[in-house]
Amino acid sequence: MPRELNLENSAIIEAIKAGSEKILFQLYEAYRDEFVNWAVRNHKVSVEEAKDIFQEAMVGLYKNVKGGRVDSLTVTVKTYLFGIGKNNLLNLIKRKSIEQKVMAEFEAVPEYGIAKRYDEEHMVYLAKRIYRAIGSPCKEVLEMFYANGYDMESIALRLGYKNSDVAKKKKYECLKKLEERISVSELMKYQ
Amino acid sequence: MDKDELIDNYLKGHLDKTEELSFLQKMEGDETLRKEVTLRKWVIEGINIAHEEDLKKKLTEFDKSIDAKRKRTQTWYIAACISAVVVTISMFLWSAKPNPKDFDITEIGLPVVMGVNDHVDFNNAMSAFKAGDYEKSSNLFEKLLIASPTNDTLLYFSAISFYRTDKVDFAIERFKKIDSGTYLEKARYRLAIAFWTQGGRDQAITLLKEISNNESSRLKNEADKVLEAMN
Repeated sequence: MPRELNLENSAIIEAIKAGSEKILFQLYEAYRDEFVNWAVRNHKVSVEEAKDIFQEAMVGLYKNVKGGRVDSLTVTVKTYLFGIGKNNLLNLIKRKSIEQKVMAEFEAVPEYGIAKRYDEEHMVYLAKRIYRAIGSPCKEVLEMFYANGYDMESIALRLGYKNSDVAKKKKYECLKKLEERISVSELMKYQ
Repeated sequence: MDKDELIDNYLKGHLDKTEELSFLQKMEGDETLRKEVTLRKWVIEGINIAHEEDLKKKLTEFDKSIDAKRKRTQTWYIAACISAVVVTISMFLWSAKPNPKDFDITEIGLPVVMGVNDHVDFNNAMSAFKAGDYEKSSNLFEKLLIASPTNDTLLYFSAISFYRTDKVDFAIERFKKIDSGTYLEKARYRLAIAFWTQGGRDQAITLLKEISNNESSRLKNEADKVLEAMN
């Protein structure tokens, strides 16, 4: 039986903001079974699907906290987490139902809208691929700055740079390297 | 704030109203800046998506580790249960094994003659024996044996007292000294039981068979029962 987390909302949110993955694992272990049992019993999804949805809910919580959309909560973190999970679950059920109806209720989307969205998705995918391949320490610097939200002083401390100016310079170099590679890749597509 | 920082702060929503308005106006007239902002937006999104995918992957791995951990705990629990069952069965079998002490035949002792001064010490020893205070009776019989070391009555009751206080070595030593008289047959039987108690199974069987083969022995039935139990 997993243990219930005896932590205040604010402590959990602060820990996530500080980049703690441990707190996410603790939350996951504490509430996974309850969510999975509820989802399987009430919505007839498989255990694997329910787990997948709960993992996405965890990522959702992380994203919202890091994005500053959850500074304080009027409900418990557990309720909030289950709320995201429930929405994800309903979306999955809706998707399944749409897939079953195939194209019957297909709504036409303007051609240019699809193309624009496709282009954007392609560029984000390209940025993600190049970022993954960029290597150390650029990957760490960019991850800490953009994904973890650390300031330059904190990055310098974590990566052993002399001061925040050195970390800032490194981040600039890494960013330019990444952007250049994206631009070159895009140019090569048209050659 | 340099341009690079300005773009980041704009995309992170860290500019105040005035700064944001000024930045938007700047972008309107500067196509290069607009492209830079768009590219940075894709970069940030790409990094965040990669980070979220990594996090999801870690959660999936953690999920497996939780199940593995619980499985290990369950395995330990099952192993502990099996061990407990094995121990219980072993204890049961051990307790079901014949115990030599179950074959310690009754000895009512001798009558105590009141008012005879010469027998006061003997009477005290025998009274203690009859009362089941074998610690006391063994001490008293031992004192009497100093004066009469070959007295078979004293040796016999002293030996029983020692046997019943788990001083089996002393009991064996005294039973062995009885080589004739009224108590010989009972002493041989008790010596066999004492040997068995000490793990001297073969010595015990030899003595018991001697008794069992003697048709006129009053302890033949008892000896047969012990031999049967030992097999």
